[in-house]
Amino acid sequence: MLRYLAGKGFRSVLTVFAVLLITFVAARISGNPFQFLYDDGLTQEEQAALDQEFGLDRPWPAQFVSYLGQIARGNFGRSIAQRRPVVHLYAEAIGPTLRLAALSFLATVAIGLPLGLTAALARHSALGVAAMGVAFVGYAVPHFLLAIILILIFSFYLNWLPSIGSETWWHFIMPTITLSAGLIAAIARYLRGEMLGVLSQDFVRTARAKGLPESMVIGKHAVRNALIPVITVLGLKFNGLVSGSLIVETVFSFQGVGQIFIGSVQLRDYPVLQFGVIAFALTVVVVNFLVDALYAVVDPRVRRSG
Amino acid sequence: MTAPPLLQLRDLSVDFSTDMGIVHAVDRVSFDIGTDEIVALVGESGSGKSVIAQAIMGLLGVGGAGRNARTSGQLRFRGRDGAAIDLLTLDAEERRRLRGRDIGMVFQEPMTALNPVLTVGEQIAELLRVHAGLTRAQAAAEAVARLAEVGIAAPAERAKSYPHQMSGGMRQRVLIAIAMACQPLLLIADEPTTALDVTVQAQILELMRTLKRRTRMSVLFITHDFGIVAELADRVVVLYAGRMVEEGSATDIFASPRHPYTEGLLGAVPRLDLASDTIGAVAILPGTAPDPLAFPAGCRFHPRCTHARPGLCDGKAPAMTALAGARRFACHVRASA
Repeated sequence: MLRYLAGKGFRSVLTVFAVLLITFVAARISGNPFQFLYDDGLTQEEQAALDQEFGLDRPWPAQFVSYLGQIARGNFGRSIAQRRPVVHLYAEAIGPTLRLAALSFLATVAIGLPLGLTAALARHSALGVAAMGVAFVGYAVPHFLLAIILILIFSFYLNWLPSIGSETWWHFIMPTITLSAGLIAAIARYLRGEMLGVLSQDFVRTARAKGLPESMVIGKHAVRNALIPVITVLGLKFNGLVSGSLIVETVFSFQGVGQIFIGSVQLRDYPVLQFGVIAFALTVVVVNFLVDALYAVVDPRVRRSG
Repeated sequence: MTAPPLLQLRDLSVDFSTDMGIVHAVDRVSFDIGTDEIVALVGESGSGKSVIAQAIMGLLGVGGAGRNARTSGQLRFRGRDGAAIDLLTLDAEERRRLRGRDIGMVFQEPMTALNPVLTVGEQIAELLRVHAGLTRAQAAAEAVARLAEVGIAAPAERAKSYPHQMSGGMRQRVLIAIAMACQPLLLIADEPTTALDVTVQAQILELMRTLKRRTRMSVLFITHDFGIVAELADRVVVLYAGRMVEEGSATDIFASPRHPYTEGLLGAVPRLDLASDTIGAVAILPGTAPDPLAFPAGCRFHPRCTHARPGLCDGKAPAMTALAGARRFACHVRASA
């Protein structure tokens, strides 16, 4: 088990390193921050002075090595555009982002799982068919389209919900719906399929032959087995949640990390961009790692063979 | 056998309505299972023997499986209080409470019949909590005792194991422990040894014999293997295409089968006591089992029967002919012989 975890950990570090390297090079190929910051243009001397101030005058490999040294000491540098520590920028913006992610995840679990379960258990009735119909629509509509439709209906025509900003809980309703709709649908559809598979398994028949109440047959024997692959899917879909949150935050003009990250891309604010990439990559890696760990908890067959 | 029978099947019929038509999977089957008796229910696959087992268990129409099943007739069951009740008149909740407590069942596939994510101890213990009202600790301790009873070594450690850590034979022992956990009056064993290799098969049969002797429960043993019938059964019921064709004590049936189908089945048993050069001469029943959507008219066996007489066997279904010693068979030709 320990060797398994160590191997996973090593691969995770490699992944983050590779992502950082690609970002580092790609950002520098695509342009210099000062061309975007000062759009009236700079003289040769001004440009050279700024480059020197932020260490951009040195060759890329040297920059990369000294950057690695910096972040090893926990120093992620200063924003070129705002001249403030990168970590402060993100720390100020992380609140709304975390709240949106947590709400979306909660909505996914709290709506997606019951929806999938209902669809499986009531598959012969109108209710089950309706549940799958709703899920299918949620699955098929992309984030940006759903966001615009919601804004049109609830902000523009009905004027019920604010469409810009992240100050009150009201501001979170439409972004949460937008971000979680696809996930809810995916989880519901997946759980339904798994449940239907599990319900026809021999061990469910055994559970019934034991005379267990149907609630136990479903809740204890069937759902636990059906959830194992669903956990994997949740983990995979989390990556979609990360990238989706960037789009959703932009559409709803959230004061979150998405805005800072997108801004850093537009301005080629290297330190901000790099930190964002590291943070996103780490989040994905850590979540996938947790999913693996959780998998071992729910499925004894994984636990022993690791 | 003076004690009244534990279970009396009377005209039990099960129909399935499918997209292709109605399947009469079980057609007016009547026989008794006595107290402390092992009855073997014998037939080819598709003969309706597993459907009878599920009808007795009340598993038809539970959950998704058998939603389209219609059961009629009577299943008179003598409960622990000695009063006979027709199982088919009970509601779903009453039947559930009988399952696992008064009627236990062992299935054919030990590899898949246990829940992969629960320890085997828990899979026995939960049953004791539900039916006997034991506490968590009591039920766990009792589960270990049950594992010991079915011959599992180091039962306390084994109770913490998961099914995938056990062999097929061990899993079948666990399934027997589950079926026996509440000391049922009737144990239904649906081909419990078919998926196991021969040496393990013998061990499992020996275990069932021992448990039966100790608890004096009744057993309905479903099989297509007359070798097992000879080893285990007191009485035999032979089923063909959903109908009973013959019934009698195991001794009588082996000594003098009356129905041509029973004869054919007995001829198809490989005999180890015959010289090796005759092994190739094992008799095989000609033809295949009929399509359940279109069973032949008259005697359902007549298209495969070497004794069939046109105008007689393809006319109306043969009635049961009763003989001395509770023997019965359904054959036009032999009844008139």
